[in-house]
Amino acid sequence: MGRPRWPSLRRVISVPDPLDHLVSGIRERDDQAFADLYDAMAGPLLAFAGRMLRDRGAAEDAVQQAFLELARASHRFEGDGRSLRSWLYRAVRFGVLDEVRRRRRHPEEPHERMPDRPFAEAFDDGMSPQLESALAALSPRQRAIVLLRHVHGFDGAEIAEILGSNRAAVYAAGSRAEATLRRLLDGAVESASSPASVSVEADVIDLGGAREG
Amino acid sequence: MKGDVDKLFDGVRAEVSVPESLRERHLAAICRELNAPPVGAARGVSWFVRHRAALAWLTTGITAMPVAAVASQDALPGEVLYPVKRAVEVVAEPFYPRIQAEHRVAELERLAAEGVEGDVIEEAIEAARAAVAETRADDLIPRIDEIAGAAYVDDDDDDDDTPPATTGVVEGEEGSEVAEPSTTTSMPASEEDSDDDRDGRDDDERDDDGTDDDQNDDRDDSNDHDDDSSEDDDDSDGKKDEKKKKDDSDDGSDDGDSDADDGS
Repeated sequence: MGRPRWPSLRRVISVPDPLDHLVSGIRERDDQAFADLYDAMAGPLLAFAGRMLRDRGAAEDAVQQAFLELARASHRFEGDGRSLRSWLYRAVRFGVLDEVRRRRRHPEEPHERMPDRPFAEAFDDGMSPQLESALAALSPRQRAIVLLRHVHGFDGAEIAEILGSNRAAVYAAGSRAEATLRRLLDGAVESASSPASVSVEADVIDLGGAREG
Repeated sequence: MKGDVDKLFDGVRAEVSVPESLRERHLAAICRELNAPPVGAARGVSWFVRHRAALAWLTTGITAMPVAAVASQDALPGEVLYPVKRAVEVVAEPFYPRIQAEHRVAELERLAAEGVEGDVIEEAIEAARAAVAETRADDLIPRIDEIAGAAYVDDDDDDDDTPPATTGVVEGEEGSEVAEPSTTTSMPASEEDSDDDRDGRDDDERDDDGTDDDQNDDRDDSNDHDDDSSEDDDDSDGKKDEKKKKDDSDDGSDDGDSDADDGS
């Protein structure tokens, strides 16, 4: 796991985290601790994976894979509640990347390229269709950075840890993504076309960069 | 700049509701994974437990080795533990071959007392003879011969075997006793000789360095060599030859006179 070069401010002053009390149970492979962790984290993780993949089934699979991986490696986990949260997001992101890779290998398979009904409705996540389609136009990496920062409330160092990158690269990609997002949303007001058609190609093209980052 | 992007996500919820059916399915899978036998170097399984088979064998081996060594001390040729006994002797008594020879003879006597016959006792006799010959323990030979004579009744080979073994031992002893004084006397002589030679050569070199092509120095050289040769006459001829060769090789160009002097 790539650690940020400098600890984030949250780490230095050690803000208590709601997941802190679960860490010891997780390390001891306690069933109840895993159930509590699932109840606390499944919703956010599912929202993140669903917005990344735009596919409810694949998102659920990614979340399950992340928890199973934690169950396999929990005895090696070291850290507090915050790093446990980052660990789970990182694992979900690996599941998302696997799914994107699988889609690239089998492009003929019907996946949710263009959901018939708006994705927000199927997902019940309260995101406006304009914002949703604008996010879909971003690369997976940029989308992950924007979601983690503005929706899930991670800071730059934590996002860098989740993505396996460094903070400078995360800030650069994040500001680019925000500029793109603003431009798309301004344009969307004028022409209400569906920019979601761009999303699939963006997934495929930007996969290489996302893997390197 | 950042503020207006944050405003975009104002109404966006950070989590979605997880249906109960999905939760049940996922938790069941997680519990299966948690209760599955841990893979590889899993937590809670100590190193000793994981390597218990190897440790058991190691402990058995460490315990069995001294037990076998002790138990083998009464073994006789032909028994399972006899090689262990021999191996222990090789390790424990390599500098006391006399003890080993006594062991061989004692084994031989016990075999004879038990009435063992055939290859076993023949090999025991061979081993005892070899051990005795190695240690020059001549006093043990009669005991071997006694049993060997009982084992081979009217066997000519046996008689042939014994004398060479004994004579071989005697010859070896004599040879060593004769050889040793000669080497002890010869070694100091050769050392003296070489010392003298080195002194002479040093003189030569000093003279050469001081004044080259001087007749007096050459005469001094020849005198030195005369002294050397007179000393050499006390020694054996072989050493004189050696010294002559050394002079030839050491004293390069101005040796014409000294060679002639040596000859005369």
